Amino acid sequence: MARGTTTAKTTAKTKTKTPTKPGAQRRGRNTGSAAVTLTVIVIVVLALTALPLCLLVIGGMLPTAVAVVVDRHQRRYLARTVGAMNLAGVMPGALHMWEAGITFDSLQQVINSPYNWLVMYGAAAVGWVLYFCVPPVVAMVIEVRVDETKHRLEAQAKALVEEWGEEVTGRKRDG
Amino acid sequence: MADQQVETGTAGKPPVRLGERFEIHPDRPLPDLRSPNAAGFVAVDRDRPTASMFGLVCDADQPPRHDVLAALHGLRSEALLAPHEWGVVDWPATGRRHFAIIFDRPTGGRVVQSLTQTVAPMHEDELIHHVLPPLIVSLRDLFAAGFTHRAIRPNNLFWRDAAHRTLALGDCVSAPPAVLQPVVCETIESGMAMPAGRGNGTPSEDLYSLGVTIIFLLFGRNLVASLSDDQILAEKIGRGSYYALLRGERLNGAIIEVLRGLLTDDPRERWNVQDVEMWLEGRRLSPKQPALVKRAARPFEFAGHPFYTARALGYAFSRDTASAVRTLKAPDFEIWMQRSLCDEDRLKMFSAAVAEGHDVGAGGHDERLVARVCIALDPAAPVRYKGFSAAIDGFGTALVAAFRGRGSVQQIAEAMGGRLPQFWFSAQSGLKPELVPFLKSFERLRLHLEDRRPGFGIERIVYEMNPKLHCLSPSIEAEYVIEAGDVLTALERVSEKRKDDDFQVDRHLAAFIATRYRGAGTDWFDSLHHQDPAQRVLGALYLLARLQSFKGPSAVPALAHRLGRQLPLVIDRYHSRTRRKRLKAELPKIVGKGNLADMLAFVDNAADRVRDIQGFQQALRDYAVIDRELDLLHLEAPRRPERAAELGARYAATTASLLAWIIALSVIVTMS
Repeated sequence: MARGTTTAKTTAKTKTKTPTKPGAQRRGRNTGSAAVTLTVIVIVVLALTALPLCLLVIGGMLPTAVAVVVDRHQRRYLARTVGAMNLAGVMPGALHMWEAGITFDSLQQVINSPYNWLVMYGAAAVGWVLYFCVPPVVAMVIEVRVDETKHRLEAQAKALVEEWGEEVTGRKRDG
Repeated sequence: MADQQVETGTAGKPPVRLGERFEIHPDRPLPDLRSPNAAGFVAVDRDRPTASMFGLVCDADQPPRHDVLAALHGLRSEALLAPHEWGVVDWPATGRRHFAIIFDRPTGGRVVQSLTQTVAPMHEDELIHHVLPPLIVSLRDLFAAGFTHRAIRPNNLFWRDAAHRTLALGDCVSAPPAVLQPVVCETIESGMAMPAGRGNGTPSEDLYSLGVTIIFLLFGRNLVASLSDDQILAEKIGRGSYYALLRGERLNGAIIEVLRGLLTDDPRERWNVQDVEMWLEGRRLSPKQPALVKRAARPFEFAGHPFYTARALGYAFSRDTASAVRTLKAPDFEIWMQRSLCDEDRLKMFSAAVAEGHDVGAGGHDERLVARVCIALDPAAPVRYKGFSAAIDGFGTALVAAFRGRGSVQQIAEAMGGRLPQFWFSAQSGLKPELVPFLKSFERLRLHLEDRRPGFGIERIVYEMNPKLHCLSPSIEAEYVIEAGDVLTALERVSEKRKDDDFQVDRHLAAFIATRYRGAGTDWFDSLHHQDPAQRVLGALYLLARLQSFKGPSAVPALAHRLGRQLPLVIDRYHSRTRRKRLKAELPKIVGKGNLADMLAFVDNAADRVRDIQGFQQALRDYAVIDRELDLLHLEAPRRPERAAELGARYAATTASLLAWIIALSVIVTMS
């Protein structure tokens, strides 16, 4: 079945959909700035109330900061992925300090342990890995499903042509 | 001649049955009794084996006079060759069917074999006292029954007895009226018509022929044998029949009266049968003087010859149409008519002839003008157009002859389409009552002529004008089918020999069924000229199935086989391939039964047809949906990686969030 005639339509549709809506852009930018503001407030409050813990968090969440800086996506999927995993990695050290008392001694105990750094940064690395590995897998799954749909539809079309002849296509037979 | 084919190859052939009583012996021909259109054979009456009989096997090209056959059979006149039985027989020599008629065999034989033959002159007394009375009585009976003989000529006279004292008129039924008559035996009007177009005529024409025959018998020879037909006609027109036929020979005695009475050229003045009877009874009438024909004061020059009478000029015009057109377009002719001919009636008709041409189409305009002027000049003459020439009641038989290769069908169609017969009627000063039905039928037939569908046209007209003409369709012509009810039987017989030929309803077959089967609706023939071959096949099946259901026979397997070979075309009109396959698989079984109505219902079932159309429309919609979906997939293909990346990132974020929660909860649970 010839589909070449649809190329023009394709181009047109692509062109019309390419520009992002201004409202969505504004909403994304607002969300980003609100998150930054919230983060700053949390850090300031944390610094005022529990400075050692604040320092642990700042040091442990450095990969997330990097992700936030390099993530150009509107919805900041990279920052969200790395941030979530990074936060989970910081959690054991923060809980240790919580149990030992939020002091510089407990901070020193935590930061002196390479295991804690491995957990914090390793978790962040897992976030990075997730971010880079999941999209190709999803793309592959989508392609497989599209191929299946296409084959199913073509088989149905072929069956219709076999039963009702070329006339069913609405195109006149040549010759 | 076709009758010679009938005679050849008959040696050793078994007798052919005609009805329950009669047998014709193909191996015993009777050359003395054959006529130009029919071969004679010994016939035997199974109920009266000693009776002397003979059978005429007719030429298929010349339709017999069925109506006169029945009349003669009923009359049983002494001096007429009466038919005992007639019908269609299978003739072994030609391998086809012929019409055959059984007659009593005249014991004395034929008076003369041809008009060039010379015999002993008959004495006037013998003629008046022995020969004429029975002939006149027989003719009177025939005329009283409403029929004419139209075959009275010396070589169609038979001696009824071995002593050669009494005569009988020979066969007048085996061929169309007057078709075998020589010009010498015909009136001027009838002589101007082509042999096949002379028509039934009137008793007056028979009596004229009797007059010519009497001259032959009195002199024992044809006095104008040395003249050609054209010369005879010119002499008759120029000098009058009586003087033209006697050629200066002198006649004495009372016979002059009857001859002058019978050979008068004006039909109104000509003796009728009562006049002859009275004369035979001894009542002498005053001898007729030839009526004076209106002659012009000065001649009109046409084609290098001078003409004084309208009739002679009309005859000359009809024989040279191109010159006549030039003459009629010049003013001289009208001036001659006004100043020299001085015939008001002719002049009025001439004006009408010229005026009527203005409303007729362009093709053949000049020829039609000449034809109308010929009618105007000589209203009693036949309709003459482009070499075609027929009496008003001879169009039907002329058309048959044309269809059988003796004449042009196109010319007759043009003459009828150009309303020449109607103009002929308008030119008659007193329309004879017997011609009124013809006037009506010409109007009706012109409508058929203009209809181009099968079942109509000129083919329809030939059957309308010849109610007992056999079907001339090439497919069954040899089967000599006269009734619509016999069509399928004939087609079955033919199909048994030609099983592998495709079958088509040709224009003759359609017209024959339309004419002979009055129950046939005009819609029966609509599909026969459809552009789609499948529709044509369906139309043929539809027509024959209806004919079968009304007239039988119940099974025609050979014909069904021929039609069945073409039915896949009809089946292919269904959209569904599954249905097509199923129908094609089951078709041979249905065809084998030979019932055409069943075949029709099988291949063209209305409910199936509706289901098929509904199914096809649903399929069209389904296909359109599929097409749209495939288009959509195609359209989305360029954006698919981008969407996959977006979706993948979202899944990664969601997965990370879930993992983070799980890890956090696990850590809390572990440490607490």
